[in-house]
Amino acid sequence: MVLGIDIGSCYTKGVLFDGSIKNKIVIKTFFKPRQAIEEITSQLTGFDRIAATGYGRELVTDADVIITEITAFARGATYVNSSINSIIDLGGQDSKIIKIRDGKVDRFIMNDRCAAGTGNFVEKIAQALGLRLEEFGNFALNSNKPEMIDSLCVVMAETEILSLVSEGKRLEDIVAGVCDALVRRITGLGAQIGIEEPILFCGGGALNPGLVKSMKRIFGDLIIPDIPQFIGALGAALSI
Amino acid sequence: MIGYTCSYIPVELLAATGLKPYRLLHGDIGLSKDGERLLRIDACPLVKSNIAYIVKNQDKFTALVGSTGCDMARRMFDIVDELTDIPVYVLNNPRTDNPKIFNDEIDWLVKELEHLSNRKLNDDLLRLEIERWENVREQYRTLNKKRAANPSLISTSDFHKAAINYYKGDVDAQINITENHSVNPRVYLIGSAITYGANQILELLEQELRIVGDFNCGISRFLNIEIKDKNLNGIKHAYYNQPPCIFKRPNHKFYEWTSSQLKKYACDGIVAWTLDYCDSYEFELKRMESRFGFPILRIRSDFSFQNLSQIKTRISAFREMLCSKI
Repeated sequence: MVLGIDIGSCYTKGVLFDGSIKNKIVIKTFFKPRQAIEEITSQLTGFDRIAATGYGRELVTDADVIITEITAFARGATYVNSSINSIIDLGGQDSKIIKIRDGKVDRFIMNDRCAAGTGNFVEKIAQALGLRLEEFGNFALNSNKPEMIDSLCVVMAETEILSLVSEGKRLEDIVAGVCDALVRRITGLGAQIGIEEPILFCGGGALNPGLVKSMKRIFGDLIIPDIPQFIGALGAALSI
Repeated sequence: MIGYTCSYIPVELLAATGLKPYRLLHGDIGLSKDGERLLRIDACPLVKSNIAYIVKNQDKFTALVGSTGCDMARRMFDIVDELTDIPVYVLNNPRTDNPKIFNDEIDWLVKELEHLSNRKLNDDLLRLEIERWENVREQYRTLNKKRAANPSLISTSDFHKAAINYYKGDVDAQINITENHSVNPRVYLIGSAITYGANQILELLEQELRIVGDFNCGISRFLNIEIKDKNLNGIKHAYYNQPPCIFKRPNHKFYEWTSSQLKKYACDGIVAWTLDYCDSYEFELKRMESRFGFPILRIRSDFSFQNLSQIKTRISAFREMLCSKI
């Protein structure tokens, strides 16, 4: 049995794999990746090998295999759906777009220098609006007219949102506008590598219904796996 | 010293004045931040670093020679001219394919340098300098063959460290590079200048890849200057006909030459390194991807390497991608 572990900046995910997923767990990383790794390995037991990925992958000192998130997501995503041509992963610290050819990584692009286009953007804006993350996505579902939010910088976006609030705009429309702004950023990235359908959308962002709605509005049909947050951990496990 | 900024400025002419040619290839976060006091924040980090270096070390420079290469580099000399008393000469390097303009500009530069140095740059003097610099280039060409060998025998990081002597005008310095074999995926490095302070990025890349060739405003660019006729015409011909800078229009020759290099060096992929706000390369990246048909890893930085762990992830992912294709 293999433990695939994906140490992300916000969440650490573990998957026990033996021909299929036997167990899985997600915990907050809280800037303490070593502690998160210990917690995963103590809660998911019975494995004889470990494969690590994610930004904290090098911290898994007893890993049998260490691979990058790009390769891990490609393996995990093509395992759950072998027909895909592209992957969009919206994580906490970065977003990645991966083009697949013949089941392998053909091209990839990462947004990792700016909060816009990452889950962090959503979290910060949700905080500023006094919403829990779970509420945030559902608010967006009730919007018919998303507000236009232009700022790419999370700090400037906060200011822009404050203006919209003071103008009396509906919170639902503001929240949907935030989702659209993030997706526009991802669209720009995707255009750089020529994203192709079918597209699999994964990462924590795929759990947010507001983001999913915005993504579908722009990208059309998307494949969203049952376990979007675990694709990296699954891909790591599959690398052994 | 006589400072210069461009691969199209003949070092032989500068050295013939009796001054030491010093390539302005500064680029580190400290100098770049200093440069922000003189230029706007979103100016090219290379230009910000160079201008800060010049202003701090103005007593070391007898003159500066620039060119109309990229726009920001050209404008740097406007600022230097205002901020310092250092004589500044800007060579009009034509963007279009026009050797006459280039040749006339070299004639103009020779006259200016003669006036500056109070010395006639005659055929004997030029032959001497051509032989001296050509001899050094030949030594580096021999080393470059080892770098390009398959498997590669020396790293680009080590080549770069050695080549700094050439760029700083220390032509008599011993060139020692220890062999360091690598079977990592072979990549070609294209993009913005690799500066004196940017070895960190080369070392980082070569932990996972082997750079076997490069085209930028540093590292091995000078190897392409081969002066056959040891006179002023030979200098003009060699410098004008070097593999063309990306800013030339049309720049199909850049693409043809680089494509031939990718094949010659049996490259598996390309690393496109661009400095923040380096329009010359940023605007070409998309075209490079379609023209070359090789996997390209894009890395953008301002020398601060704040995003080092993200850069590492991209490099590792690129290696994994190349290995799955090889």
